[in-house]
Amino acid sequence: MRQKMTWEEMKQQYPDEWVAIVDQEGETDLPYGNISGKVVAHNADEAFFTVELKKLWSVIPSVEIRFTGDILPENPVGPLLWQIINTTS
Amino acid sequence: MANYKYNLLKGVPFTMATVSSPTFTFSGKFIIDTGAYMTVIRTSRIDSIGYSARDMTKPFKTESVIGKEFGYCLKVGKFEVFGKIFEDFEVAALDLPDRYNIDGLIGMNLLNQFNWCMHPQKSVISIHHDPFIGG
Repeated sequence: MRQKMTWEEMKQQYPDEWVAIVDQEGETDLPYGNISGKVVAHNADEAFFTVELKKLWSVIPSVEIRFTGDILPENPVGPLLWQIINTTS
Repeated sequence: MANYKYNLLKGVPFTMATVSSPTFTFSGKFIIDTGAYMTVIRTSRIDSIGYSARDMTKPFKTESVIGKEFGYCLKVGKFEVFGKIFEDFEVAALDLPDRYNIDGLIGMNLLNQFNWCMHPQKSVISIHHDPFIGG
């Protein structure tokens, strides 16, 4: 079984990667809370990460997903304005 | 009334939300986005819990300063945030641009279902659970 790691250890071991975490403890309700847990999947490529998540379906019911690198670009204005003009059809 | 902490990153408020399908559940980072009508989940994450365009309820198109984006709407089994669970909740699956390593946006189609108040100096959002107030 994988060993429990701190968030700092995850960032060091899997830099700029998506990680899927189970058995998490700590500030799990905060997006940037200090947590520890077991990494059950990780990948820098999102498509491969998705494939790895699907492999967990039969063995794990849920995971917490985090990205170990920068979450937003320097000027994150785009998403906040994305849907001011909404054109659902 | 209940208070929930959120995090500010580069001036943008984030919170954790949990999304479930009959197959799988994930918790991830979502921007609290009052400028967004629809709640958005990145398409790859939708894929990772077993949904796809086959589950589309309608196409989704949105326009912004960075251009037009195309996706689709679908209903996810459960969307949980701020201590509330929304079942068969409609979201938009959308490809988010590179360098936006988030799981999605919480839009007004969710936020308008209860009364709430943000307290930026404390990074706290207060949710009214009193049905007479709204929620």
